[in-house]
Amino acid sequence: MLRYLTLNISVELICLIIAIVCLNKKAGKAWFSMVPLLIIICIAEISGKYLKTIYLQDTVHNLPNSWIYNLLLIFQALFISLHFKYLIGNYVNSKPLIISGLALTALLYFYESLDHGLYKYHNLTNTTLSIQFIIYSLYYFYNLLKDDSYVNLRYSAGFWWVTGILFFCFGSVISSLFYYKLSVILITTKGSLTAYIYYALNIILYSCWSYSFICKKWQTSILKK
Amino acid sequence: MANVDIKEIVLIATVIFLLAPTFLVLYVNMYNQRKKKHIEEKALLESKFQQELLKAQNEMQEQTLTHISREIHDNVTQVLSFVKLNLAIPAKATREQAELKIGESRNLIAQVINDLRDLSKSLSYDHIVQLGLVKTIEIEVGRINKSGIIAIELAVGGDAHNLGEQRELVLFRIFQEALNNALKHSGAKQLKVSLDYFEHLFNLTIHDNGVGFSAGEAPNGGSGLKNMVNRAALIGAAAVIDSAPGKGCCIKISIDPLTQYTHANRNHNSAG
Repeated sequence: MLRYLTLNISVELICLIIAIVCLNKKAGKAWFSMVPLLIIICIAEISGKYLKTIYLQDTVHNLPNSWIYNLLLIFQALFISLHFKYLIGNYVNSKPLIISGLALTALLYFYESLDHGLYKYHNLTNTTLSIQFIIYSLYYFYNLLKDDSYVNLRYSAGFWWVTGILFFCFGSVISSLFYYKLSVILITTKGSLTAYIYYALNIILYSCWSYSFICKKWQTSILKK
Repeated sequence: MANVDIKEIVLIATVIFLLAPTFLVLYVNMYNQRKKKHIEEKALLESKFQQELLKAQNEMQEQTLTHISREIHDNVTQVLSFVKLNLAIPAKATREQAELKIGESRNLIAQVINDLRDLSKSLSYDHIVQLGLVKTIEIEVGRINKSGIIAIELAVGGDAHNLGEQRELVLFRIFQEALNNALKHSGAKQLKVSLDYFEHLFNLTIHDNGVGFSAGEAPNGGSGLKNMVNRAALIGAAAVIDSAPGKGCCIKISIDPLTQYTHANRNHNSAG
């Protein structure tokens, strides 16, 4: 069992525990939806790891784990878009932007499913989704700064959540674009540069999210008083 | 060799891309700090404005009370004492003499009633709110002209409109200060007051024919004049004071809507 506890999975599990402790229904639907998303991510990562182990042992009869990540892509697109809808919605009507984004993702996902099936990773959908999230993040920052009221960013749950996404998506886009160049650069005998970039990105993403959940708990507690 | 170059380019591009969000987040944080500073400065300015407004209101009230007290002492009490003496008609006075005295007393009492009515219209903050700047200045000018201390000529040009309660209060207080200066220090016999309303500009000009002063010899070390300039700045107005020995003094307050502070437009009740 312990062999499934890779660095990425450990970070995700820690983030899930913090989310369960800090987020409840009082934090709002958008925030609370992070708990099921993290559960789905953890299940997908553990299953992915398990399938990879089997695949490496028997490459003839088993299929790679890409289909799991392709399924995960649907949940990520839905949950993260929902959260952005809530965050940007605090300033402007975010519905048209988010719905357009989801429509584009659905279109690309459908196209890639028809093009090469579910067993090959939907790279185009993933990259486009990352670019969408970068645009949402920048739009959120723009509205945050444009707003008349001052928000202390140090304790702003929304700011830290978006910061995590921004870092992850920037890194994810560059890793996808230069995948074939970066994956051949070996840092250690086992790991390529892309793997290490993803380790770093995962740590940044889930640290930012964990802190944002803690900030959200503080906010909810203050409002309750 | 080319392969190594491409690898380097890819690595540099990756590092730049990974650093980009860091710079973005730092920029957001820096801008947010600047916004905080701006909000704090705005709040400070607003609080300063409210303090100054309160001070102007208090000064106006004080001046009104002094004026009322002087009027009661110098005018109303004197006339009523005279009426009291008049009504102490001796028993041996004839009916005609008594009627004459009573008639005289009635006239005097009517005069006192008029004076008291004028006093009730004395200048308070409420009057500026109710009557507006032009009417309030007209009443003040009428009162001064009636006293005969100085001759004031008032001219209103353009289509008079409301400039906002707080702005009108501050403008009236500047007018009072200028009037006081003219009465106390200038020895002027004549004062010209003009209010000019344009579509995008308002001018209040107060010009006396007194002794005037040079820049270094302003009355009371120039604190009253500085006060006028500061108060004008608080409502987004510009004050120009022009004077020279023997040439009187001209104070011009101009409000340009493009430069005025927005909070100066608020209603009295919503402030602070």
